[in-house]
Amino acid sequence: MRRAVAEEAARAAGAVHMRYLGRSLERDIHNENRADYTTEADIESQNAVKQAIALHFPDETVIGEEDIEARTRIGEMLDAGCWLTDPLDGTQEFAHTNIGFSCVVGYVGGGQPLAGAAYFPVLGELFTAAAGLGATLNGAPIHVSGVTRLERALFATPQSNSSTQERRDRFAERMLKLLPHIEGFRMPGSASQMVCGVAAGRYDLTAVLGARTGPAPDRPYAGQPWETAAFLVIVQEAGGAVGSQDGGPADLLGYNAYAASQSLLDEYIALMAE
Amino acid sequence: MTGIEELQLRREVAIEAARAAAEVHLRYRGQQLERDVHAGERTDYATRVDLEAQDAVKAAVARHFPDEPVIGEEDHERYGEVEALLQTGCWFTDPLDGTADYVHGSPHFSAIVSYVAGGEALACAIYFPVLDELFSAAKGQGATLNAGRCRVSRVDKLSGAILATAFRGSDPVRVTNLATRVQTVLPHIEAIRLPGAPSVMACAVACGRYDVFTMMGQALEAPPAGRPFLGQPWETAAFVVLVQEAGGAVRGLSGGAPDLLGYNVFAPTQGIIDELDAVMQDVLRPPRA
Repeated sequence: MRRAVAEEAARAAGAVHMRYLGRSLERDIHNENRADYTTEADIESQNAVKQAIALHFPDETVIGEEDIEARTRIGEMLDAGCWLTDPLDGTQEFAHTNIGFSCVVGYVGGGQPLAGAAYFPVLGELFTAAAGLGATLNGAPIHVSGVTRLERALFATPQSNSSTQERRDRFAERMLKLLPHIEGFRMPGSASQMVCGVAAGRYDLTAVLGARTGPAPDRPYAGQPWETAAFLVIVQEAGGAVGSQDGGPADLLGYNAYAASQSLLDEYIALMAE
Repeated sequence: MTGIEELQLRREVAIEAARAAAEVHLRYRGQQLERDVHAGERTDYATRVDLEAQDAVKAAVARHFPDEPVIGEEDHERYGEVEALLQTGCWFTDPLDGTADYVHGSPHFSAIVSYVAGGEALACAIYFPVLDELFSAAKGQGATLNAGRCRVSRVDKLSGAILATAFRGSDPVRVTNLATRVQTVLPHIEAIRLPGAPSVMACAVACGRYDVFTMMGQALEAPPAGRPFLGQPWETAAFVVLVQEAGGAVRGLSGGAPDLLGYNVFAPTQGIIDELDAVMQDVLRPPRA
């Protein structure tokens, strides 16, 4: 049921994306970082997600990436249960009329991600999962590739054109460390493209090379739970392994590495910790 | 047949050939394939799909132009003829661009076919069968994506540009090149992407999804072993005519006209290429002889 609602909400947001795609949109730039911006399409698709959920669960909390104030309290909501959404993941892709953007919707209860959906409207690809029920792409079951060694892995990472030189330098440094050990390196654009790509076996591993080291300036945690909730359940249900990038279990509020197998995840974490 | 009619025919033959290769792609998609590793480099390999798709391209061209040479990426023994054939006329094909993505089940792979004569790229087709996207162009006749017109973006400053680049291999020189070049360019652009196959990037620049495409992870100093030239004309020729006909600018990496045997920068405007030059200077250009 929650999976079906997540799907319905993601499709509703996708309809908004398609209405705005190709139009020139005003960019609301965050923290004076010209690569980090929100458009009218982000706001309106977030409203579409909320309406779709409210039809079925009118009393439940929905927090989106664009709820700048409410999202600071996500950490307190995870046990009681809430919906989390990134209504337009890949805003840059969208603004440049590329095809790799999506709407991501997840449901968390008892501190665990329980259901998730990611819908790519141009590609017509819908990924969904629910705890214990498997993961699907357009209704067909999907599985990770099962690759177990870094030397056979296609690695995908978000581009890290973040505001600080320090993070750019860390990105380049880690890229240099990783490249000799993998089969291929990819930066396709949106996080959902990479994570869903791991779930479907298109990529074998994804992690954030230029991750920040402390909490973000506008919230008490470092990660992006509005997308992470859905990502965790989609990859886990596709048979993949997820862990915190710093080692340890998956972290809804932090940065995670998503892998096609536990041994691949372990090899990556160990290499990066050296 | 006038020159225009002939070019139109060559474009249609390129389309027919690319679609024939794509049928081979789809027949084998999802099957476990042997990798034929090139020259001991584990990240560079061909599969039987590459070889059969190349045969399909050749058969399609031969139906219309039985006497004309067709050089495919897998024709290693004919690389020595390529430079002369650019002048006298020949077809090029990369029968499966994005082999690694194909093997991993991604939809982002294509068949590339082009025709070159008088040292210039004249017609091309690039077909992505899973996405059902067909890009094609002929000199002086514009570029299309499926039934619609294909145009570069209106981005006119490097700071607003999404730059796409590629990397292949685990050779330490290339690894260092890529990391250094990425680090240098990042502060000057809106975003960087490495989506995979070169055709994904060239076609994305042609239709405005990305703004700049250039290879950054290559060793630019000397040709790879077994090849008398630096680049990959079986893909480059198609990219050059596609982006030019989509209204974009193409320049050889060492300056001047598009270089079919080397690497190039593809962008919506010459101004963006100039800006990129100023930023990259020594890190992008190969040293001059």
